[in-house]
Amino acid sequence: MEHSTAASSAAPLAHAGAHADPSHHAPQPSFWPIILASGMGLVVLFVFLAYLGVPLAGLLLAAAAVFTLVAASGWANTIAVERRRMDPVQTNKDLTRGFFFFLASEAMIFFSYFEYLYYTRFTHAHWPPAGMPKLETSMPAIATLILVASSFTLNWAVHALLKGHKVAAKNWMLLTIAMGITFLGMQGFEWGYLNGVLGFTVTTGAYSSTYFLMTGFHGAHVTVGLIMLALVYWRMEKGEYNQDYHMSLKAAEYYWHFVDIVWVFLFFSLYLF
Amino acid sequence: MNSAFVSALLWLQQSARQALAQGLQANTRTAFTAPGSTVARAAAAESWHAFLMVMPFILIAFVLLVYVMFKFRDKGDGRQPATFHENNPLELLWTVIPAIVVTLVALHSFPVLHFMEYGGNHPALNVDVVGHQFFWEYKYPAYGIDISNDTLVVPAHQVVDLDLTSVDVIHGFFVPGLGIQMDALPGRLTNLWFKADPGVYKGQCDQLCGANHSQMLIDVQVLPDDQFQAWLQAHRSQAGAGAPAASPAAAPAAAAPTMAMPAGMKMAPAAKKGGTQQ
Amino acid sequence: MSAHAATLGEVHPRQYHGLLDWLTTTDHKKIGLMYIVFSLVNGWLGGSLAGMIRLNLYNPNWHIVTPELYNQLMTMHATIMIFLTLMTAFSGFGNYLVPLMIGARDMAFPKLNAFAFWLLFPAAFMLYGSFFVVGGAAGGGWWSYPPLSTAQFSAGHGEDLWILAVILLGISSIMGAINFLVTVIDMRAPGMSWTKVPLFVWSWVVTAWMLVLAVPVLSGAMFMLLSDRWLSTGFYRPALGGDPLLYQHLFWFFGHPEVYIMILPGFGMVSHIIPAMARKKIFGYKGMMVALWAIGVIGFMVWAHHMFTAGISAQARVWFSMASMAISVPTGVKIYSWLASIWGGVIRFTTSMKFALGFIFTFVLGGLSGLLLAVVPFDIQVHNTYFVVAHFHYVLVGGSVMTLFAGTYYWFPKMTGRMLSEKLGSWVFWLFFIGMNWVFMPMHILGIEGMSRRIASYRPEFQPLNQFISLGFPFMLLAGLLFTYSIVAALRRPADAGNDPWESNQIERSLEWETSSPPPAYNFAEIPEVR
Ligand code: HEA
Ligand code: HEA
Ligand code: CUA
Ligand SMILES: [Cu+2]
Repeated sequence: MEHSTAASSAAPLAHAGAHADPSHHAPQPSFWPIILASGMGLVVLFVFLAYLGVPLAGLLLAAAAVFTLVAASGWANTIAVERRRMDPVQTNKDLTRGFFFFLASEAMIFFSYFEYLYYTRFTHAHWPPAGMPKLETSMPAIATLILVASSFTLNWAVHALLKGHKVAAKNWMLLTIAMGITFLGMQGFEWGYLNGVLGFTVTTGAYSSTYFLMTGFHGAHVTVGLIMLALVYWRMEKGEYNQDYHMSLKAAEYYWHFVDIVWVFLFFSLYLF
Repeated sequence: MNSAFVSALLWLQQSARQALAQGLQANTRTAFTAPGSTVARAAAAESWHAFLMVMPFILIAFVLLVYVMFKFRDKGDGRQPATFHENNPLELLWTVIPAIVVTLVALHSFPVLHFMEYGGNHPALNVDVVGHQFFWEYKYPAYGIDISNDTLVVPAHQVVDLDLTSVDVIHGFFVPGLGIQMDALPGRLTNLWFKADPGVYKGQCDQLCGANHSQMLIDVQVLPDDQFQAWLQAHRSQAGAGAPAASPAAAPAAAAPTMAMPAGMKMAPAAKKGGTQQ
Repeated sequence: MSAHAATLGEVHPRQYHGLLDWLTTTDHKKIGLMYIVFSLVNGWLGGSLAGMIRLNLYNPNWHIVTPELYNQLMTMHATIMIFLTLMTAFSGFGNYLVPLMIGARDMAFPKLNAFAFWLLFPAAFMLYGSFFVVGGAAGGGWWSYPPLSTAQFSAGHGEDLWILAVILLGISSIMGAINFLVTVIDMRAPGMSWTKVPLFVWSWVVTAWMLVLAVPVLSGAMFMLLSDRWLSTGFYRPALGGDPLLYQHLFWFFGHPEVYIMILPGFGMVSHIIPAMARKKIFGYKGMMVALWAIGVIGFMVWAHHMFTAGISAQARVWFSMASMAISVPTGVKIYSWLASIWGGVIRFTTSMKFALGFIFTFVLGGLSGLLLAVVPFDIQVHNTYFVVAHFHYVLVGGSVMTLFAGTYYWFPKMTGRMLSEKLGSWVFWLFFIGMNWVFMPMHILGIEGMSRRIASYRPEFQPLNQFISLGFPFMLLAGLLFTYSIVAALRRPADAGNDPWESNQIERSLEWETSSPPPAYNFAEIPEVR
């Protein structure tokens, strides 16, 4: 979720105004947007074809996915290059703000699932509905603790980095990632248990559909968060961050906290309430 | 002056009413052209009431629009435009007065809503209405009658209570002359009531339900009590003879009931097609 | 406000030419123009579908198209008009004008902007392509209510493509909206405090806020619908404990804000045109701004007025009826403020002003019918009849589309440097205005007379009015042809419009008129300052 920022939004630095020619302010053309848009379109199209069972669609889908990833990283790379000549304070402000609006819209997707859950719950006489297992809470509770704790460790990692304690930062980061993976593992274990042992699948009923949708959608977000953290770790290794230059670190952090908060609501709504 | 305005409005209402009632030879009765039930009359009266309440504000807007258009056109006489651009009392006025008026409109409509929702106490007749793609099934649980694809027959001047549901998709039970409309949803029971004058009322499924949605018509016959009892007797004996849906009108579509699938039944994609396209 | 004035860096701008230039551009003006052209093309296609609908309804039982195809035409007409025509047209004007009006050199995220635009193409491809898959396009109406839209009752793959396209379009609008919000928050010219932001920009801020909060809910509903279709989940299937009614709640939680998304930018445009043409400052700027926000907030609380007959409780209906009526108050503030802006002015009846005044007329009528629909006993009488169709075409065609015409006549000179013919414009206006009222006014009566919507054949007694309605369609068609012709004709003329052809800035300063027509790639040689 990193976007380019126009050169135009840069605030004055030392040699501001050195150029008389205003055409320098115009944003750079780029092939990446149209490539990424086609990539995404193709992914969706091939998902559809794969669903239809068209031969080779799976292969095409994989190809389109790779294509999309390449486009995304190409785009990210352009930004990295462009940003070297832009004002970090202003671009970071823009990016942070944009990122928050993005998270708001993500929150609204979860909102629609919560709305579904609560509505269904209160229109049913029994909850869980007859024939559905009551979800086991002890393991998810531990998973919740781990995830919540990982928000703290991540916070410490960022603080350590900004204070210049690179080694501590990396360690906290690794711990965060490990905790995230543990969380996913426990989640996977629960899925396996519900699915394999209790025969509780997406098609069992609205209740199970909701359960799998919400935990699955959340799990996908955890996965994305983990990928972001891994990338951040990699860039930490390369020593690319400093006090002024750590936008992607911040973004990953916010994202991780967001995913964490959503989980707390989810845990409360699905398991406890 | 004031009363002239009111009578002008009333005149407008009257003539609009007449135009609606006569202008088109409407065979479909509606709550506005020929209301046939207490509910329809209440709803129509309430509609006119709301219309009359909000109309002045709309008219003010129109009159102002026409006025400023002619008054302030550029007549080429070099007149300079005015420069004012705010007036707090005025703005407050056109916020508060409409707010009060719409609140009144809303408040005034709620007793009618309450009547439409809860006014049907002690029904003389209960009918279960079941929507199918693409016909209606009427069950008279107290009499063991179950008819499909036929006219709904009910007694006049008595409270009739309908419980609606559907076996497949959402349908809409809409009989404008009786002033009633309610969706029939699978897996849910919805309810409405009416107390009608004798006569024939036409309606139609009012919720898109597939290809033949437009053919899913509704006929309601409201009979005086003695005739209704006779009808009941006739159908009861048929029902006893084990022939539901035996009315001649149902014959052409007699095959239809088999098309209906129990709600939620899972089907292989190949089999689904026939279901929708009939 | 920090200044965004200065430049940095030594990189010389890369430049492509011809087609490549358009494919790679991140210039908000070019993207805006592409949006507008995209919208025009889709307006023609969606209008053609409307023509086919009207042709089919000319006779009660004509069946020029099969009932299945009729449902598809109707569904696609609405989808194309809403998602591919109106929303893109407003995105186009927003993209073009918002940075100019706030004195910025571009949007905050120019590449994201281009991305949001290009994402429209896969979606459009899927929508139009769905006519050619087995089972045809989606035919469940633009609401796509389950169970009708589940695999059991819509086995055709048009429905799948429709859902996927709507999800893609949702991503596109969310990205666009985020971009608008950040741009306006962070990139206003020095001195442009929030109380000096032009009303069109304000209208886009509110619209973007509604997009960010409403569209994801649609996406959520679509994910669940798709998984019901593909994975046999039970979200909307009663047999599995799901509930189709819930889809309606989710859909309209999006759907109602959506209708304001489709009108607010139009309000914004009219708020520029009227002062410029009446030669008088906008009346009640602050009230207008507050009204926009009131609409943007209350708009989220009224959704179930589309479900008055769906079996929701009486208490819920009381609330939704009240809230829906409450919206007329801020809307009325806007109407009266526009009228007060004209009061005492010196009106020039340019085409844009004609469309703006015509818009007020038709929109007030559409608002009146909307207000009546919010009265539950009345809504029960006419829900899903042609009265509703009349209501929303009055607000959408008489409202939104007329503002788009007005905006096109007003800003076309800025965008191209060329004036549109006022003589033809007068024809376009009168043909469209007459045709629009001709077609949609009698639909009120049809609804009151009990004709249901979404029906491919109807009772013979409705025939005279339906024929009358269909005969009005050619007027709008002709207006569209003349409009398109006058655009092409204007583009063939040399650019001669000055910076400020309407002398708007003599009345109220709006920064887009301070640069050349069309503006240079960097918009302003020097970022203007606002006092
Ligand atoms: C641009 C889009 C737009 C706009 C602006 C509106 C505006 C309004 N709409 Fe409409 N509406 C739609 C688009 C829009 N609508 C669509 C597309 C549908 C159908 C969807 C479908 O079914 O497919 C629909 C359907 C719809 C319904 C559901 C009908 C049904 O299906 O049974 C209702 C019910 O309450 C409703 C109400 C309103 C109200 C109260 C307003 C108000 O905002 C109107 C406010 C304006 C005014 C009132 C006029 C001006 C005000 C004054 C002059 C001031 C003073 C006036 C008074 C105090 C009276 N609309
Ligand atoms: C934006 C919305 C929009 C627009 C413009 C229109 C335009 C028209 N619509 Fe429709 N219509 C809907 C939205 C719209 N409609 C919706 C939501 C439904 C409900 C579907 C459902 O039930 O699911 C519907 C349904 C609908 C029906 C009912 C079908 C049924 O229920 O069975 C009918 C019947 O006559 C109809 C007719 C027309 C006609 C004759 C026009 C004519 O006005 C068309 C003439 C052409 C134009 C006016 C061109 C417009 C050009 C532009 C918009 C581009 C402008 C761009 C720039 C200037 C940059 N429409
Ligand atoms: Cu049943 Cu429409
Ligand atoms: Cu609405």
